Amino acid sequence: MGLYFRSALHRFSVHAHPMYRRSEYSVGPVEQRLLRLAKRWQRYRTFQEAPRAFFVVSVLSVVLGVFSAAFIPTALSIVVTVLVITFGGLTLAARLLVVPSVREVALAYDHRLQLRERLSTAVAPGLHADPEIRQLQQNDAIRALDAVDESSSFPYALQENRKLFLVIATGALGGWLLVAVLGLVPGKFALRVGPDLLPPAPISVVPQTQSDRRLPIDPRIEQLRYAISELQQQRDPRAVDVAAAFQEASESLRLTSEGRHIGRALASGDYRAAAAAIHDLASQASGLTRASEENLAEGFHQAAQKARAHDSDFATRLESVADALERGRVGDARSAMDDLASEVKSMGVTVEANNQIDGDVRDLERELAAAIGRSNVSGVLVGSVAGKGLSSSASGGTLVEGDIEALSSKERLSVEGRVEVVRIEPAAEGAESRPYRLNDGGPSDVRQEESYAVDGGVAVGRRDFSRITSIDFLPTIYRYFSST
Amino acid sequence: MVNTEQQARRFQQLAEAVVDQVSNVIIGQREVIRDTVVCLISGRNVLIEGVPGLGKTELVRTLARVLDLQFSRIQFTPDLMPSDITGTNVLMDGEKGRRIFRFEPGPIFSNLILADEINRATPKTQSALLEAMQEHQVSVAREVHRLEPPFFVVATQNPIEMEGTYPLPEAQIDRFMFKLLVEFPSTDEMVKILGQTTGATSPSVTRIATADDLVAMSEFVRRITVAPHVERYVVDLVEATHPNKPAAPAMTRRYVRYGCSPRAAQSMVLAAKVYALLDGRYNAAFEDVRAAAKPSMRHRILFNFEAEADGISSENILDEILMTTARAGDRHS
Repeated sequence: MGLYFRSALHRFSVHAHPMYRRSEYSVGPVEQRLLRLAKRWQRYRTFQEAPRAFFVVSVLSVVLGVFSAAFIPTALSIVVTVLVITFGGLTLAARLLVVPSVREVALAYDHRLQLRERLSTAVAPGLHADPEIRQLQQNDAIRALDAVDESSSFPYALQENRKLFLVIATGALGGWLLVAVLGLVPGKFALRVGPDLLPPAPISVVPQTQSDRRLPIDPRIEQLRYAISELQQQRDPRAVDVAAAFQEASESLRLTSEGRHIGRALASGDYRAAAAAIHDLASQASGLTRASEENLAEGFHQAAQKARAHDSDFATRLESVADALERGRVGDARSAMDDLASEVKSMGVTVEANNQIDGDVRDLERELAAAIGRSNVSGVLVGSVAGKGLSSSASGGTLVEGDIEALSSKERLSVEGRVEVVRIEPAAEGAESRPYRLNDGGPSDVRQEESYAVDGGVAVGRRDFSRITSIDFLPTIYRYFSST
Repeated sequence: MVNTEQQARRFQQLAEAVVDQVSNVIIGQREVIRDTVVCLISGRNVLIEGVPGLGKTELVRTLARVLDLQFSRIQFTPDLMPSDITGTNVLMDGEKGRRIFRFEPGPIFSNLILADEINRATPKTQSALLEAMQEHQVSVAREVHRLEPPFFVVATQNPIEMEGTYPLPEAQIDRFMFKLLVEFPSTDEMVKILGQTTGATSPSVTRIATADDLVAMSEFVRRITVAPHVERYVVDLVEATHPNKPAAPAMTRRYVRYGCSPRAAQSMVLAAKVYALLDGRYNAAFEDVRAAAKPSMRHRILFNFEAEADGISSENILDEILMTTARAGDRHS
């Protein structure tokens, strides 16, 4: 716009009435030449800047596309990518349209061609210079401009590093779009099932009479054994002793009137309630009579003595409370009780978790025994080749009801990386059988509709990174973040 | 305009011829010679610093001969008095037996004054030069005596032997356009110097220009164009020597107590104009300013104690300033 505006003013100054010809809008000879050079400079500058801009836009769009793919459908993430690229392209195009000022062009030519500020001085406004010297300086600037070979000074050729920018940007963008368009990037989280965190061969129940019977194996038994061993590794060995210590201490505390609530809560295994009762006692400590303090101190002493055989830390905390009460130091007693409450609360969580694991292990052991019995008696579970499409019920087993996607969040495998067990209920009798996808969107050699679970089931697993991660990174992630 | 172009061409030829002539006698100090000539053409004074024996005095003496200037050498010593420089009124026998006072001009009444080892005289004597250097006049007994143009003071000082010396006061040192450092010559140059100074003949010196030529050149220089963005760069450089200015780099803020005076900017612009003419241009460029930056500013920066403790010199500060101060058009690189 500046170029056309200035040119229009110049035409006006040339053709207008003589009184206007020497107006401040008249364009000098150096300025005229620079106006002609402005486009070359503009194109050159855009040409040089475009690869870097393209690189930035491409990387940005790929990063946005990949991250958005985790939260929005793939098609939308492709749209995001295209929008970012379009925005970058429009910005570049707009830059081509804006013609730089004459001063900017003069400075650029001076700087790039080492013209020693001849041009920028010649077009500098408001110079109070000797008119003759000014004219000589402008002539000198024109001579310098005449010696300029535009095409060699501002070639439309890319430097090596800019070529590299272009190659990287094109590769990243092309790769991303290819992956996205071909649907290689899945859009949500899924389960991964099996002892090795990779899906086992598709499971189906095959009648014993079927002719293409394979070697008999029982993947369900393996799954159960794996689940039991995983769960046993999660147990905290100290929790057993702590539970015993709580039990021992509860007996002594129940005998005192002030510590009765604490003792009962500990005995019943309600450790949160026990912690709360200790806190209550701490808050009432200042109101205790001397006799009550001594009575309570005696109870805590005995509790500590009994608990010491199982957990010395817990016993020490009980002893601290007892000592403080015995000496009548209410502040110390309150502080010691608060510490004791925190200990009971935190260790209680561990004990409860252990109890839960023990219960799960017992259940799984029962199922394991039943599975072993079944495999010895009736149907045989075999690993079959994928793609057989066996979806009907077979003797000795029932197809699993329900899609894993429909399970509640508690029932699904943890997405936080912890190993968890998910129980799958068997189908109700007479209900329509539906395939149960154990591995939604796993490696391409196991298709979704070919995986089934039978006769109820148990799944042990953790978050499947393959749904949110580039395929190239999967081995690394499995190496460093898998427990197997 | 043709006349102006011829003037410019003659300016260039004369200046180059002067530098060439002096370079025949003073081996290996072409840059110092060129910068001294730049100061003389600008009509300003110059301070030359270097160890003894590097040809400082000979440089000034040769310049006087090449430019056909009246030359005076004043050897500054602790017992030198101001009147030894400016001159004094002496009692004389007048007409009819009357006794009258008559002003007897001192050695300062010349075109080119060599103030040799200026830092050996007392501040009182040093300051006798102040009025002459700035206003080209001398006041003695309430009488003002004009110094004929051209008038230049070329002072020398020795940087290593500081005992019994009196560092020049800031007001005086600011009146020197350039402070030039005379470096020790290279091996080849030393060999040349030996051959030239210990033989039977000495290199002859030809008179190239006259005092009038020098005055004309001095006037012509001031007509050269300096674009606003080049002037702005000069100001930015000077401001970068002031620790309280936003443009000051980290080294300035840490080590400088006070930066350059406006005279530094004037010196840089004048010198840039001379450099431009020597290069055949009618406009000053950033490179001209950069060439003049160190000689114009190195003696005008006041350091703090930390700088002395850390052994920081003005060259370190100026290198940093020249590296960090941006020029218009830098973003097009």
